Amino acid sequence: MSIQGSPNITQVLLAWRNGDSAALAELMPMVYDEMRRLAAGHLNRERPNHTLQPTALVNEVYLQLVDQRQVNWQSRAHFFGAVAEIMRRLLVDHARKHQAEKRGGGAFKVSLGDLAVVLEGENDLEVILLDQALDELAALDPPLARLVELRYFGGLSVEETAEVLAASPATVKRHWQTARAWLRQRMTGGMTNE
Amino acid sequence: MSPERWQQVRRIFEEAMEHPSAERQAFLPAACGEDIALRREVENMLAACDDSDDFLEVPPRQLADEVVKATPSTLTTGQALGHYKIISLLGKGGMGEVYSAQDQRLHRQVAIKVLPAIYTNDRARVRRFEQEALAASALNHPNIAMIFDIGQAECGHFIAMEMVEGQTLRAQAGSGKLDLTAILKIAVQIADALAAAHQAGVVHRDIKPENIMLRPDGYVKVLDFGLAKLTEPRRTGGLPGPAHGSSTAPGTVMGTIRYMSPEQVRGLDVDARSDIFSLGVVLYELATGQLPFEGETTSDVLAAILKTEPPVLGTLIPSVPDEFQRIVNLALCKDRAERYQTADDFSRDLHELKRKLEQEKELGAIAGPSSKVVETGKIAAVRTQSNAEYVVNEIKRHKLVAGVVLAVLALTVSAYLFVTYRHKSAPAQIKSLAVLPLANLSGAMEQEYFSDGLTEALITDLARLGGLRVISRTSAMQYKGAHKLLPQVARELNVETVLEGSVTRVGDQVRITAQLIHAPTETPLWAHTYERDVRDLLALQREVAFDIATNIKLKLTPEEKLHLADARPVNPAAYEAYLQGRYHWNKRTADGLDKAIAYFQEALRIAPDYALAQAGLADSYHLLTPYRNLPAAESYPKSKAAALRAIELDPTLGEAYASLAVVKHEYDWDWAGAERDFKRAIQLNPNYASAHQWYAELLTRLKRTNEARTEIQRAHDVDPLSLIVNSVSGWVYLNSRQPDRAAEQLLKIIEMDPRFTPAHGFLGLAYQQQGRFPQALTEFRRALELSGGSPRYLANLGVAQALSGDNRAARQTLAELLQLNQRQHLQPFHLASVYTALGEDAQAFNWLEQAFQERGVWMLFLHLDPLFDRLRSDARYQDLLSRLRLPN
Repeated sequence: MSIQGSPNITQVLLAWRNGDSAALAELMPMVYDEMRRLAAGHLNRERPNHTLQPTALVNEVYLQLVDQRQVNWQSRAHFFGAVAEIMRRLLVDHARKHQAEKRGGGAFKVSLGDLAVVLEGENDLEVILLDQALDELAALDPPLARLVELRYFGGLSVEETAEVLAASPATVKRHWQTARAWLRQRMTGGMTNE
Repeated sequence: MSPERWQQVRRIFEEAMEHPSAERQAFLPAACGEDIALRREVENMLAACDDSDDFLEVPPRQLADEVVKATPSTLTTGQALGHYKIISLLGKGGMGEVYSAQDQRLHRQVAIKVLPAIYTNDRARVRRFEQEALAASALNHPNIAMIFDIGQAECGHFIAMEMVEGQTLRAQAGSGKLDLTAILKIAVQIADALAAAHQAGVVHRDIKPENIMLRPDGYVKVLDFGLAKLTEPRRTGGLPGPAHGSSTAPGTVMGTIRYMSPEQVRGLDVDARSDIFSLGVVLYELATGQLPFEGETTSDVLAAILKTEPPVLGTLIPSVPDEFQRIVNLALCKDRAERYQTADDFSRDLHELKRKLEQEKELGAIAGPSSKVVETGKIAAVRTQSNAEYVVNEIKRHKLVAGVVLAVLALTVSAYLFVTYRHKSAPAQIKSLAVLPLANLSGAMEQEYFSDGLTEALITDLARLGGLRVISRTSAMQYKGAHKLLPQVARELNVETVLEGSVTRVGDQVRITAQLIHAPTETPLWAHTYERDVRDLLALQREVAFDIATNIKLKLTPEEKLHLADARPVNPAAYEAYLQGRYHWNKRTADGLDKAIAYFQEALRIAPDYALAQAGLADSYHLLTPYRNLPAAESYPKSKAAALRAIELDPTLGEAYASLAVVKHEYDWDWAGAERDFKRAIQLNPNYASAHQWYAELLTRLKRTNEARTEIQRAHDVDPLSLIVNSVSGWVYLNSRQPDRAAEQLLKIIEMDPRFTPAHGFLGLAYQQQGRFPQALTEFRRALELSGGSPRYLANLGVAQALSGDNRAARQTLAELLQLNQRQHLQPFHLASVYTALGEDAQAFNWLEQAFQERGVWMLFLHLDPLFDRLRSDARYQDLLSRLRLPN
């Protein structure tokens, strides 16, 4: 068999690149499934303390699902861009769930495993705050919010983000700086206000 | 804040950022003017702008946890997967979920790997994988985790493999805590595993620390041989090569990529030398704690594998011996032609170095107490090879012990192992055995005859051995595909031991796995895997039989040994045709017999002096009269000729004598000759149920009822589930005028299989003897229906109608029979029966005389069937009986 990867997903990706926006909806479940599978693999194989980075995960999803000979590297960036939104949703849901567990579970049944969750919780809070701040940013400046999504949740490099946003790398760099600054002051401010 | 306001803040902020930080404060008042709020917003942002930390620069970390938790596992505790019962989920890997499970047959724990559907949806890929897994499952090496089974269940394809306790080498690799001796202890075992696999033609393709397990006792087990075949097409071709190498993925940690060989990276075909490279990477990493080919991104790693020479080992670890460097460098040659060409060579060098280092250590220890040895001991997982070696090591440390003591110890250990092994392998002498249908793992239904044929051949070979009761194929075959527990099987067949196994055929290669199990306790007694060319099949099958006989402590007579050793090579095509023929013969249908004859003839065309095929032909011909309603003169003589030819070809073939005896009994009416041949057949093959069954029929005719009962019981012992044997058991009662017992027995068979026609016919006759005519009529009608209108049952019906007083119906049936007689050959005896029942004696004797002339089995009921009792006083009856030389 000569076909590499899933022909479906490659075609869907190409369709999406060529302007078929409905293709994205079709793409997501495939990506999501593959991502779960790969993440599971990594968790099992890596050292316990070595957590997989989402970018690596998405990269593998991409390698697994997309026929490299049919698409160029720019497609990869677009793919990553599309996936960034899923990543954000996953992470935020995860963080919220942890927070809810922490509140609902009480402190009595804290075992060693729970302890790890509690410690991780600091990170949860950050993700939740970031999510809220990003929503606010999106209300003010949708392109900037999208950029954050790509860079942080999608794990795209400056160059890749530039490709997805059809901007120059210099612009992306500048905007990234702005977004970071705004989000940080917003998030630290948010924390002190609460 | 409004979007417009934000744009203002943003513009000023970005402008400020273009100034050096010292000048920003000065810039702001001019840019913001009177708008203090604006200025504060920008100032806040500037304050928040700190390039020195990694806020948002490092992607979130818990994602992998999340997605794993969100994925439900496929199987739950207690769920059955074939004869495996899931215990718990061990982990989820890229290659699917792994469970611990209980093998319900062999009572051992196994690891079950359920393959992800994403890989198994593609049938071509699965087929490739299965072939590879089959090859891999043949690997039998202490350093290779055994693959026991591959199968398919609702949840998908799965692999059952050896359960390995311990941790992966990954857990050790990065720690850098292993010293060189410990590394070499692991390295030699991996290299040995590779050498064994490569010799068997299996390339691993995915050697990395995650696939190598360290058992607490120091054994190394390489996992997942052959599994890379599932993912491979994607990985080799799908990777971005230099052509699209601009992709960047900061922080990529793709386990697999870092251990790839250059040829894998380039998407070329890989061979054994690829594994050698990967092991080189593993060794480099173990020694230095870092990878030889690293990079920020996937592409960088791939480029490094292709182009960069790894940092020289000696610069990273000054203490490393030159020889180790040389070995690792040789394994890591980018051009595979310059690498070690075989894992064997690789292994030899590693072993040699290990030995040298150990010697040096010994010398060092003698020279003065050193902590070096103890250091090695810190790594618990790799401290000792085995308990015995541990003892040896302890002794070595004390340096007090002479070689003699070591030798004695070694002897003691091996003697102990020998004793325990022998003890385990022979709980008691075994007297009965059932060979369960060998599973066909070749994946194709067309190969079904092959595994069934081998099962049968094995049964045949074992059945020849005196002192062992072997369940015959018809009973054994009932368990085909049935997932029954062995104790239950043992109960149903009344046997102590069960032989289970599988047959795999890939091209000209055949692999047989066989396991002998003490069934009531499910204790494995012996297991072995055989792999041969298909041309050696007969030898292989005899070898299996011989091994089993030896293992169950059977005392073989010289003749039996000779037979098992006498494995003359058989043309594989002929043997295949023979197996096909037996498969169809065993169906016992008219069509099956036609096909069987064609196959046996084909076998004989290829190998004209093939005794087994001749015997098969003989068996097929004589069954044509009962199943194809052929005139006796057309079937029996052909059967006899074939049987005689078979005996001529192989005078030790019991089956052939049984076939000949049937002809002598049913056609020649040579009672003494038939008995002699039945006895000979049984002597040659005491476990041939058909011989006992047919002999019981003869004894019944001769009114030696007690002996008949003994023989049919023997047939039943070796073939307890055979419908025909059970029916004939009822038939013996029926023909010794015990209709109550006959009916009781026959009803049991109908319960077993309501569609088994002969049982209905015999039951009707039993009811008739009891005088229960309505019930008799029902049974005959049923037999008539099931057989598609066989004249035999039509005649039974007519007789019952007449005996019950319904002469009109009987005459109608008779008319039907006579009409049928115009179109096809009917057995004259059947017509005689109906005339007898109607009281038309003249006609009856006419047809009886004709039946006598035609010969055949039916005439031999004259003195058995109560129907003819009324004619006994007639001189014509007495004349017939005396001519038949049957007891009155």
